[in-house]
Amino acid sequence: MTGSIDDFREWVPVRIFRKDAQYFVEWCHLGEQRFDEAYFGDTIRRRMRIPFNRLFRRNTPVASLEEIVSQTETIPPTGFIFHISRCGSTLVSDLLASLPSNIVISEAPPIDALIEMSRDGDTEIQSGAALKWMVAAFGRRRWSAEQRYFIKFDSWNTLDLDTITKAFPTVPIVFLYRNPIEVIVSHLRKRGSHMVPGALAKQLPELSLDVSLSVSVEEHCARVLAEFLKSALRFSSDEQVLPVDYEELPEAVWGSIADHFGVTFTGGEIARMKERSQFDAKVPQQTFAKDSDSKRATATDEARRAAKEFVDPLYEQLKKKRIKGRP
Amino acid sequence: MSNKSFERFREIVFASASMQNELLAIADRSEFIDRVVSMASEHGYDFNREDIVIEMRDADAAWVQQAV
Repeated sequence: MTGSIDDFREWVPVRIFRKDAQYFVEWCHLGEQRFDEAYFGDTIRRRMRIPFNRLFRRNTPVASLEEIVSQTETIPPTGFIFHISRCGSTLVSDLLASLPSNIVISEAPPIDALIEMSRDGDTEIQSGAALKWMVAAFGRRRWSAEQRYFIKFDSWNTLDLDTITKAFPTVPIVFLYRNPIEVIVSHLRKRGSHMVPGALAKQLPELSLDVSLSVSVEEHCARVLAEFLKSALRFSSDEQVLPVDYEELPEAVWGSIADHFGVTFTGGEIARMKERSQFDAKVPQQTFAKDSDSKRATATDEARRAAKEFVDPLYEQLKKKRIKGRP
Repeated sequence: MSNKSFERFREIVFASASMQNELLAIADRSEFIDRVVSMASEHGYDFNREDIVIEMRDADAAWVQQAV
């Protein structure tokens, strides 16, 4: 342990690492910085430019998280956001992060690392308990305005919904999805890390590197998306999980998503989110324009075939459940 | 300078909010290194600029390599 427990108020976990057969949390000084960028990593990269954080990061054993979070006021998670990637999830987290009353942690590697260790049944640390402590660590109230706390998970964490709902059985979950052909076209333009062949082989042995390389890029993307949708469908009848289509954004953020999370935004907060929604969440300098038509128009025949064969039936099932369950 | 002696100095910084605040306020890398050297000297540690540059390089390498 470096420094006393009390001294961690302005510090945040940035990753888990292993040294000498022990797992540690590495902390970076966040100071007064809010997580107001599209991704957790963007905010951390910005803080890492400060010379201090290059030289003075702190390390604590993972088990110390429990003591650190127990001595600080924390906000329990208000809602979790899961998604299939390229489906508006960054728009949702960005709109929520635009309000000072919200803490939004978007795709944080320390959370992903502990989910992976929980899935693997890692016995060297109490990975399930550590996941709860890590979630609590990000929910520490650093500003008096903060009232709510949202986590956007990595898309591949959808495969771990079972682990996460067991750890957090009462936290409402939103699952974002989109017409699969549009998602595939997006990945063909710029591949997400989980769409690299073999990247998810641990969670999806049926998509090993050998298998992934033996099919077209389009089919590989379609089969990954199919697995995400299958996982979501297993939970779609559960009251804890609300499926939301890309087409319902951004209004769903202050509509059905807010209702599901049990949140009532003020008129001023909604106006602020509406204003923010005019701009691209990933490139805030640009105005936002829906590109579903252009994505569908540029889809290759192979992309259409792969979508039709592997994902479209699952997408239709989810849409039907969504419509059926809509208030 | 041994790595362990810098680790001991790190602990002193982590235990002192005023030292942290002063170093956090320095955005310029060269100025930051100079102040770390002088601050360490005030606490009885004899580091030079090159020592700190090496420590920063090692910390950067750890950042790149150590993730689970």
